[in-house]
Amino acid sequence: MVNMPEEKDIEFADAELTNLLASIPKVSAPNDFEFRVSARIASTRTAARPRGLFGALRIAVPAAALLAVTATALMLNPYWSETATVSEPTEIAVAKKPVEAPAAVPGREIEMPPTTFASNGPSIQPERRMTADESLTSVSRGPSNDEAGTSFVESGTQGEKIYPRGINPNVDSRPVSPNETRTGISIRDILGQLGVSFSPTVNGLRVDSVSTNSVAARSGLITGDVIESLNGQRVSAETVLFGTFAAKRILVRRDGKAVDISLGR
Amino acid sequence: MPEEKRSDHELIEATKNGDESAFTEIVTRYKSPLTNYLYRFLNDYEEAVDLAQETFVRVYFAIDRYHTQFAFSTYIYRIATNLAISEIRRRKRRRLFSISGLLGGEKDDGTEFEIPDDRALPENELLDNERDTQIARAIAALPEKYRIPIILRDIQGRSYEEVSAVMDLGLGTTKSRISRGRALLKEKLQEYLR
Repeated sequence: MVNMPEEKDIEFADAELTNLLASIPKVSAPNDFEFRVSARIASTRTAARPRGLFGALRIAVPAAALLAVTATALMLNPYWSETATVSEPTEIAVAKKPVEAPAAVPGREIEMPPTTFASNGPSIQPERRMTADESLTSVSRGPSNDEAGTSFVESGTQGEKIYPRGINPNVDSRPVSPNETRTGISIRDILGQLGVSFSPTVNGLRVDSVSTNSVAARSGLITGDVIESLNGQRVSAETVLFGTFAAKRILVRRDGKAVDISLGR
Repeated sequence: MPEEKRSDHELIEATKNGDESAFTEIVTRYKSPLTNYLYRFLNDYEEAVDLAQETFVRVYFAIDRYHTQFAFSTYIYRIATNLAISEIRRRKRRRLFSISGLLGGEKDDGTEFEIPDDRALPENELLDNERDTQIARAIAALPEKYRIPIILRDIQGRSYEEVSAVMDLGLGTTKSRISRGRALLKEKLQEYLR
């Protein structure tokens, strides 16, 4: 059995040391000790107190303001806008079905690739909207198979026409008003691009001149012809076409006879 | 007739009832003993003052959990001791060095050492001679388990029972540690013991 030393024995044996230790000076707390303790208590109490609605607003309002300023700055920054546009995947809308297939003339085949025009509406009035089974899909941009190089739209593989971004003949995003003037391509512009200048007559459009080496000249259109229809649709000086279509055939009256001219040569 | 001094427990009860001046009186009563205790423990006056203040803050916010069957001085020394031990461990992590790990000695056989803090004592002006400086460094170099009871008993003048309560140890273990701590100090302070 181990005997525990008695306190008196311990103190007596260590008296010299304990006196030495007791003799060293003692430090005191600073004079502002109580004040600093009170300040700490107040600070801790404030930090622990639930903030409530006001506390949440103190954070939410500056955060919302900062967010708004940042968003505005980004939207107004042209460099950012361009970068964002470029960084988007290169995709273009494709209509699975051709928008309008002009009625083919029986017995005649299209020998040359058509000359195609596009506007912001369907090619042949009345305008039509895309049906449910003609949903838009996205495909990667492929090489154009429009060998004539006269098309305003790009053609994709497997007979699908690929339209540049922003031109979708199936969808008119604007509300349609009966009195609304819609932007289309006038017959004068179309024939002008084919190389034809004309004057309107009662029976049709009389060809005043045909530009040398133009599509119309190469196709056989001559001065004096009276244009009666384009792709089978009767035309007048006021005709305006919407959407995309291919100028394939033109019917003229020449010396009293109807002549069907295939365009694109 | 002078107003009778209120006991610690009376001040605690008054504080619980919302008497802020009672708590201030507690702070005034214990601020210097606690600062001196922590100063001898840490050998850093600023750190000692900071931890003493933190001790009072913790006491204030935990005052409802304090039971008056224990001496308040025991309670407050225990909180201060725990804070000081945490501070010393934080310092050790900063230094990433401990010679006790290299020696691999048994914990209770006195071969455990701590690296003395050789930094210049900022409170040199408080120590009026070389002897006090050597004593302070010898205490600061003691392992924690000896340093705490030595300071509480021989510098703060607490009873053996109170020291054992602060350290949460048996009375016998406490006396043994005090004895061992004194033996280590005698070796270091021989030149001052005649």
